[in-house]
Amino acid sequence: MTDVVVVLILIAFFAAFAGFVMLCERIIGPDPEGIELSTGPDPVVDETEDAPEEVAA
Amino acid sequence: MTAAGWLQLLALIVVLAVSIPILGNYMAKVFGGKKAPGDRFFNPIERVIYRLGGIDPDREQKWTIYALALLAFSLLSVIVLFVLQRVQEHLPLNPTHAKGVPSLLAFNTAVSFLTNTNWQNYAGETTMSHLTQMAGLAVQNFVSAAVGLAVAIALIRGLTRHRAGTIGNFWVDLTRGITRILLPLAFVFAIVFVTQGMVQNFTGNTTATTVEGKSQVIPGGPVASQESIKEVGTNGGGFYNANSAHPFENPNGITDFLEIYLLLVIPFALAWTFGKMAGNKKQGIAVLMAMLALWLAAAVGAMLFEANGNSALDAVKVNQATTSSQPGGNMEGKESRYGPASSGLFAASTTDTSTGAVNASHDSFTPLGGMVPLVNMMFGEVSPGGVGSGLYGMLIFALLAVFIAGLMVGRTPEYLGKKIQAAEMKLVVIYLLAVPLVVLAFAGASLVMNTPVNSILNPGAHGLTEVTYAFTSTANNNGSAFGGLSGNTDWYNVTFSICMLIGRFVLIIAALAVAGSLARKQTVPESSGTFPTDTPLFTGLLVSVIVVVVGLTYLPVLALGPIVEHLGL
Repeated sequence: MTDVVVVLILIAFFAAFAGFVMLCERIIGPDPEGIELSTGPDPVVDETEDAPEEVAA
Repeated sequence: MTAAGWLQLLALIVVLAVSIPILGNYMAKVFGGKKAPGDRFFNPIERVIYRLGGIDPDREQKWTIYALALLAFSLLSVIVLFVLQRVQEHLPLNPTHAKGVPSLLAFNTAVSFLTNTNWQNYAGETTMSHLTQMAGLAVQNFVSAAVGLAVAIALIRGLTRHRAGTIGNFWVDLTRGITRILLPLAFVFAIVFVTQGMVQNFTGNTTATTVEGKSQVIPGGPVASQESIKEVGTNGGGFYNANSAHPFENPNGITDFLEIYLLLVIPFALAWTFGKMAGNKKQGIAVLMAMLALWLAAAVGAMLFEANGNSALDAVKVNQATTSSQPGGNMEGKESRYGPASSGLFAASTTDTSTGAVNASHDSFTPLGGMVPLVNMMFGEVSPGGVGSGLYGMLIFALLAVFIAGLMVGRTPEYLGKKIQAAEMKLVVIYLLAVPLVVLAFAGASLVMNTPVNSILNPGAHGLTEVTYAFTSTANNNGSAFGGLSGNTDWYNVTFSICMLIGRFVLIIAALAVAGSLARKQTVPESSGTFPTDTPLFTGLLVSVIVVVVGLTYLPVLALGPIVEHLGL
């Protein structure tokens, strides 16, 4: 019985954390400029010391 | 302090100075989205992991999705670890026939390892099976560190991206952190540790007859493999109850030095990674110098306080001088093979990071020597902090520092060209208040109720320090125990678990929210009114802000605890 209670407590904590995520999203609010944002990864800006690319054997 | 103590500190600084740029540049490439060293080896392995997990590595996530993925993964991890402990007596690799761990202790331990805290209300050699140690605790040592690493990288992306809606892919960051950083380092150093005499086997207890004719039980197990990730991942949970004071877990001066080095190297190197990914190394160096200044002050302080000995012992004419036959200083609770200087250095480093491993009893330090690890944790472990958690904690303080600087000159504060506005500051305040709130509330509650008070083994100011230390350690996800407090009670098992959960996930979510908020902002060009954040002046401001904020929060409890105790000696 205690085991089930412990698991339920853990689930409740993580549900609360998920709620906190939504609260933070409300704090941030909508994007004021409302334009479409980029979604892809962007490269490392500082590429001055790039290692040489690996060469296939 | 002896010359050997100073030389050890100097050697550590030199080795770190060599390692930080190398590891920092490597991590920037691993998380930078372009080619990275070792791609030909790691890419096929990672592709298999992504395929098995149904992950599209090219699909980036908004910060809310990133956070929810992290929470889902963490919930699954903690339940698996809890169940594993409960049923371990029915599973293989249990040569000592360890019983199932009691419910609340299993709850506390599962939360502890999930949150990178590794607070241990149990003795590993008598409570856990080898399977639980390896498949449960050691696995969490890897993944909890990788989670922290992922959050730090996500925050760097938030700071450095321009009008972006995403901050990366949690599953990719988690996987790459484990496969490319934590596993290789842990593997190499586990082998090094074995060469130095650290235990690595699957045997249970061996009974030996000592030279005095007494019998002694010698516990075996897979120690070296857990020890390396314990330090590399800034976890700290020992295989043995005595942690790194145990000769099988830390056999000699070389392993002691390496353990200190390993728990510092990734957190320091991440500051370099930050500068590299920001496209301005000076930004990273400014943060790195702030970390270094706080760590160095703590290390030298703890080493000197312990090496100078205990004035109460001087009063009763105990010889604490350094001679050819004794290291001198305060040797109570310390291993004679390390002495006070190395013990002080270890204590400062393990609490400046979120490691919590110990090679001496912090409870036996001088009052001011014991205050150093306590204050380190109160700083939020940002100097250099845990793997990932140190950097994102320091960057949160950096946002507060530029906000204060902005107030001084009457301009909107900026950091890396991002305007810091009301939403970010609300999140920063939540981040900074969450931990002190639970530490002080639960420590206060523990002092007014009979059952928790009965767990305190020392009266007066020292007892207050013991309770405060325990809650500070758990809420900051450090895990080191001051000692002198019987923590394996229902009250402490539950309240420590709450502290660990809040101290981990409220802060992570706030940091990711800051990342999401900043990522979508435009990067504004520097102007004559921009406060430069890549200069020694900013480093000084950052250190000052940390000291003032923490001082205002915790000075009363420090005054009533270690400071009163010191004045009473």
